[in-house]
Amino acid sequence: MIMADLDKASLLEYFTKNGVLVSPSALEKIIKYSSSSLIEDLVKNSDGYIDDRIVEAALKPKREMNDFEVYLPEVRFNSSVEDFRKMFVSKYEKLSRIISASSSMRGSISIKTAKHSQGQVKVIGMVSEVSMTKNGHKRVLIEDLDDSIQVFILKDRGIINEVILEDEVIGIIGNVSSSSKDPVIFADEIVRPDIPYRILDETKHEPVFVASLSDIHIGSKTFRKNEFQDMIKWFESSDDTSLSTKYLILSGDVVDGIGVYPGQENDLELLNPLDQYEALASFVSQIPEDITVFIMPGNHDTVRLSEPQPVFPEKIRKMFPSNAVFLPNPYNLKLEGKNVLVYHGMSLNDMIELIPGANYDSIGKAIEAILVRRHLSPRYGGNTPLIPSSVDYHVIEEVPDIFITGHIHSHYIGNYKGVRYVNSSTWQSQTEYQKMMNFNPKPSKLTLFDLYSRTVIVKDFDKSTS
Amino acid sequence: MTILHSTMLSEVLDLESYRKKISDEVRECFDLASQARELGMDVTDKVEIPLASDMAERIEALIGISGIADQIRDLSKKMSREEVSLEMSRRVANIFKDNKKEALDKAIRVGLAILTEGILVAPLEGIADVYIGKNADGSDYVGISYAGPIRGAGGTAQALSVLIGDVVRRELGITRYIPTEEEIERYIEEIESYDRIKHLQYLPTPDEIKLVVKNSPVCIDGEGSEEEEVSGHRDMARVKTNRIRGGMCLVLCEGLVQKARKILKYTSSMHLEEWSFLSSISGKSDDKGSKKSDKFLKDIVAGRPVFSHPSRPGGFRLRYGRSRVSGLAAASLNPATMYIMGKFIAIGSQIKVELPGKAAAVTPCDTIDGPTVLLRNGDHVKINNIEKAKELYDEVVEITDAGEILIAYGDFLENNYNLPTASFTKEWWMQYLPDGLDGNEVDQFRAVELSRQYNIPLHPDFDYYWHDISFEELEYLISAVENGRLSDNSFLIPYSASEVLIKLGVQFKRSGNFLVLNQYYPLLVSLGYDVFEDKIKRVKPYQRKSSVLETVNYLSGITIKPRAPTRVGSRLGRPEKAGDRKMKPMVHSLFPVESYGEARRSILNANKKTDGTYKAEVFFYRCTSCGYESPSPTCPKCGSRSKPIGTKNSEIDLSVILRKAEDRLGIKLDELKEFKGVKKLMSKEKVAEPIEKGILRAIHGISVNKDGTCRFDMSDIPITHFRYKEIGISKEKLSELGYEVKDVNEIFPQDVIIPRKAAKYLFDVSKFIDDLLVRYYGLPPFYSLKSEEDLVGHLVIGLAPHTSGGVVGRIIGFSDVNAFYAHPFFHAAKRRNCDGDEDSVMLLMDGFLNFSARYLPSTTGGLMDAPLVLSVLINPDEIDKEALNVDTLQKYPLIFYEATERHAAPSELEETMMTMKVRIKKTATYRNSSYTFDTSDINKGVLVSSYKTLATMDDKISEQLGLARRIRAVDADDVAARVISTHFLPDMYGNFRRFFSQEFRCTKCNAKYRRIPLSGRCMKCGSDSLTLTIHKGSVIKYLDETLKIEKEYNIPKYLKERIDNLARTIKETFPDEEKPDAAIKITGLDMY
Repeated sequence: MIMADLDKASLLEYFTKNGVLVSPSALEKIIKYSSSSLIEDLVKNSDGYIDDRIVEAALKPKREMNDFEVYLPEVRFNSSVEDFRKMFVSKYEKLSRIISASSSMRGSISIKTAKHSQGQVKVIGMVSEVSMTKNGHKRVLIEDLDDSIQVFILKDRGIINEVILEDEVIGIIGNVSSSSKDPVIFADEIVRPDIPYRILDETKHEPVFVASLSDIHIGSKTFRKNEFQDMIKWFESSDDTSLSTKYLILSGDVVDGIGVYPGQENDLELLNPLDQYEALASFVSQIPEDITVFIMPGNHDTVRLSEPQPVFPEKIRKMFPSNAVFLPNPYNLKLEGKNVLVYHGMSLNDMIELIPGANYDSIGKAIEAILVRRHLSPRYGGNTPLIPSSVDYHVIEEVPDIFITGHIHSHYIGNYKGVRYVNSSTWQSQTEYQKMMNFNPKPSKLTLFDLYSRTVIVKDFDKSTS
Repeated sequence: MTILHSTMLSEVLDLESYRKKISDEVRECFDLASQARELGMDVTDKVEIPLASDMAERIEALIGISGIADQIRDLSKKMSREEVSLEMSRRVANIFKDNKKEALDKAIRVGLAILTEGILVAPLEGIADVYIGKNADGSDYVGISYAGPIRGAGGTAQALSVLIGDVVRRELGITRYIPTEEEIERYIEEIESYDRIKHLQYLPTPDEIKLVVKNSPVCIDGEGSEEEEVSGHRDMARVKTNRIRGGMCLVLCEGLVQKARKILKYTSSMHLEEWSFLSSISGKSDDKGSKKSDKFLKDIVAGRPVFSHPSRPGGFRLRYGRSRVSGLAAASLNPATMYIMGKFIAIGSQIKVELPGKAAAVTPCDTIDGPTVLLRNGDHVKINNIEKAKELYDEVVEITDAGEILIAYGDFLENNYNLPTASFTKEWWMQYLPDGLDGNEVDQFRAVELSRQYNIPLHPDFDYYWHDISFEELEYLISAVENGRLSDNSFLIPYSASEVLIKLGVQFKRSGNFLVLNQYYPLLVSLGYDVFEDKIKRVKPYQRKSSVLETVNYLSGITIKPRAPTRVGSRLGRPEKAGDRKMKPMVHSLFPVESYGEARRSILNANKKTDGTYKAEVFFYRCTSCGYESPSPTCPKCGSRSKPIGTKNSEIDLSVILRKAEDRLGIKLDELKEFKGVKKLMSKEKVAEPIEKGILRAIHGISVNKDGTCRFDMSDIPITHFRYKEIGISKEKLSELGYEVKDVNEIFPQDVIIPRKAAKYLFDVSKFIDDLLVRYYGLPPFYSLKSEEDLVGHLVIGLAPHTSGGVVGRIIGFSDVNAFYAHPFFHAAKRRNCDGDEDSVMLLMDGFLNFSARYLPSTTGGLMDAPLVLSVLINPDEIDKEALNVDTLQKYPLIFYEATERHAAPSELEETMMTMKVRIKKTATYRNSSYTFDTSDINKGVLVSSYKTLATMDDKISEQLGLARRIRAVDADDVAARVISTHFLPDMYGNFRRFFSQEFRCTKCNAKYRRIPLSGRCMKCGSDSLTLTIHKGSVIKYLDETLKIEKEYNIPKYLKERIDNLARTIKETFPDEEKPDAAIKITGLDMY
């Protein structure tokens, strides 16, 4: 159909033929702004009636097409001893590759070779045990794929205060001593995989915001429905920031689930997990469809607890509109060429116990400890169950531009060597359990990162504080 | 030996001569054992179990401050136990006042030891440390660091120990503890966390915790006893651990808060005003009153059935009284009941009960009612003996009434549980019967006649459960009676009345469309009819009164009392136990083999593998003549005595030691099938046992306990009177033991009846002891038993877990049951009651010859369950007071029954009911006690619970649920739901989670790894036999069963959701590896 040929009569005939009624004023508008794509869109998306408002909505400038990739790896796993071993071997290999790339570790050798060497050696090992000697020196047992060695850090060395976690992979520069029966290394330096300093290339670009929140806990009596509703309204509004928001990330515990802890039924408003996801889906449907909503599971969701956690099953995915995209946990998301690493954050509980200075109110130290070690759950065996597979999915192979976690119900924004990170806010009020643990969550804060500048905005929907 | 001598004189012993006999024989054993140990062939040259004749001596021995026994004895004459405790603490503090820390430490321990009668290990191990710390303002304060074993002391003693600390602190002039706000918050968080892991009897509110911490002048501290840590208040300057301090939680919650009212009594009498803050604590749990609860149903365990939901018709009917084997928390059931209940209840089994306490051990009493059952043929019959129960077992379709449970008054008194209304039973009815009338053999016509003539309540045999039916049911029954007829001395009533008659507990036979009632007359009278010339006539017009029971009272014109107003809910707790104690794996000798003996810890393998020498950390001796060093007190080279040198990690020459042992014992080691040691010694000095002892144990197939003795463990049950016939001894033996020859004898307080199984074991131990005496020490044998029967008259040591004081007992006979029959005082002397507790016996000579405190583990709890002191004689004022509440009457008086009708507090009747305490007060002896119900044979009943005989968990659960469906008083759906939600789901959830953060283990050398080594090889032994510690099997263990139950029972929807959720995630986590295993099929679960 050619524009010039348009007249009211033929246009009307065209709409009628397609079973659509058009109000006279709408028809005027269509003629005024007409383009063939507009007419086709209107017909395609119509409920059978078109008025002014619908035409106007169709004429509103569209946000740019979203640019992201979600590639779901096929996680193969099993449950034998050998599968567990393969996971750690994978961890060792990936991290030792990163460590050996650092200039100071050039020329590193295997532990076996080191044992027969003299003088300075460089080895890379996974920590098996850390202990203190009677005299206050630190004793670290490290191993590589076929041998192990004791490393001593003398108490007068500056590195004595470094926190060394079991199962992290570290490089050691030190001197081999074979004065005792078994050779040991006296360490001078510890080399971590760490994050290289990076500077955000602030290209001139319209801001594109990634919004992040976590731990919504729909289904719980303490889910903050009103605040959530307010947030959705804000997304629908024509606020500049809102209009520039293209992505929303929900990083796990989107519902409260069932049977997660004893007596949970008393805290639940919706006792059936499917009802809980239905409720979430109806909220998500209200979010403008040009915002892509990424949804990840957490420990409360009804997928298996052990990480990596898979995306939600078909039956749940079907409930959601097409702008919802489902992620496994953890997942390294590519948004417009930037790396956004999203992890629900179960290991943060363990890290709080292991990292001095990290606590529930100030989780930054724990998050940075994860980045330094380039592993989302550096120490095996605590409260973070891992699925044994031949690939360790918790290694941070690519340096993220943005690192998003949740789980803690706190809210903490930081920047480590150019990696912007957030422990996203929850949408659940203080629970009885938290009250007992004397923990005050910081709920209902939406964190927005601009993908193209250092801008971070926090939209506070917490009514109790404002 | 001693026994054989005394066979000549068979005088009947009185208590005094009995006591003398016991102590003489103990002394004789002691002297013999001392001779052996003085030979220098042991790790110490003397018998290490000090004999104590009373509490004061026990305490002196336990704490080790000489001279205090006399002072304690003196003070005890004029003061209460608690006062003595405080006064002695003061005095001890004064003795050591130059060293404040030591003074505090000793004083608190002595005080606590007095409170716990010198039997418990709590004063030694319950207090990890007493220290002096600094407050923020620089002042000093006293902290007591409690450890897990403080639990044994009980709430009151725990709380008083804090009080003692306070008193001693003042004595020494140390200022009070001032907590910081953060420390208070830590207490709150920690106690709540502890409650989640271990469950406290009473969880105080945060305000209560705050109140106690703020006001307690002494800091209540503890060792980090749990794996779990606090998450909030960590790394605090004055709280040394982040782990949860179990001892602190117990003392604060179950001690100070829960016993606040009791403690207040002491603080006010001693004018300790600072403690008056306790008055604002409600101390809720102290008032138990007579509220019933379904608490006993909590934590239900798979495979252990419920016998009755709380207070439900059809459940156990409460009968007051005591059999000769009940009281002290043991309750009696008719043996038929044990059998009919799926044979799950055996003699000695623990049942959890609704009242008066939490649990009871079960003993037999065949003079109370058994169950009533509905049979396949439609008959409704009462079963009062086990023979009939066996005969009808397979015919039972429903257990309509569980029968009676006999609970002694004393148990209500002990639990301060207001007396629930008594069932109207014969012994009560008899007390209304006018003098001179015979109340036995009353038939149905005579019963009604007696009531009418003497205006007394209707005989209980014809009194039905009118309170259990509704008016509609009553009226339906009346209409059915209208359609019935008399025929051949019985009454025929339409079949449709069966449900009402079952509820009433009326027995009948089915005959086509009719039910035949042989006993019908009182029933008809109860409904307002009478019989004239074989015709049934209504004599009173029907009219509803306030209740059904009122209505039948009105209709009959006679008094009909409630037949079963109190039903007692219950479920199976711990099954009975009787078995020798085997360490796992078995240990013959406390001798270290390091990892050379491999997982089996074989000493012979260690010898072969190492060519006879290896390095081990052990206590060494040096030979005085040849200078050879070895872990043996006598030289394995030349046989001379060796001198102790100390602990070191050095080479031991096992082959030399073994060769010497072969020599000495005249035994070839090749003859031994297996001979096991331990991997490492756990004691402080790492003293090894002379290896000869282990070799002889291996020959006799017996395992050694950590303290060097051989034990037999059993559930405790009481007995106050026995028949010599039932315990397998002859009249002659009975007489030899000092008893009068008669059918039933009152048992002496230290006489015990052991299971046949124990006799077999102790017989083997006696052979080991004799071999040891002859072959090792070169002395004559002591026991020389020809058969197990010869054990009668020999002495044993009874010793309970969590205690460190043994009690001497004398074997007088044997039982077929799997539990330990002994006088309530004997059990109480070991600090046990009979609610499912268990303890152990060892031969006296074994204890004397082989026990050494130097073997005991140095870890917390190491002193527990070791005979650190031995009570030779039982004194009633030094046993657990609970045993003094055992009642001793032959007949409960009428005022008792009437008191139950107004739910009187049991303490009101204490004098009347002649408890042991009252008996001693009134008659100056506890002898001549009696009981209200006879038991024809203490061996009669189920001997092994089917919980133990059913092979698999599947079988147990299906029996448990099958029984739930058969018992009228049990809601099978509820049982199914509880089993799933309290047992299966938590188990599966837990293992499922832990599977993915599990440890690894080397099957070769048993080394444990938090994470599997990257090489896949064991870093200790180099083998590649590493394995999982949690297998898929343990995750899905109950999955099948759960899904089956989910399908078959009507369980709550939320629970179903949880099951489906778990099953689905398990399925997606363990993908279908291998071939589809039939046992782990997941069907019908595709929720998504």
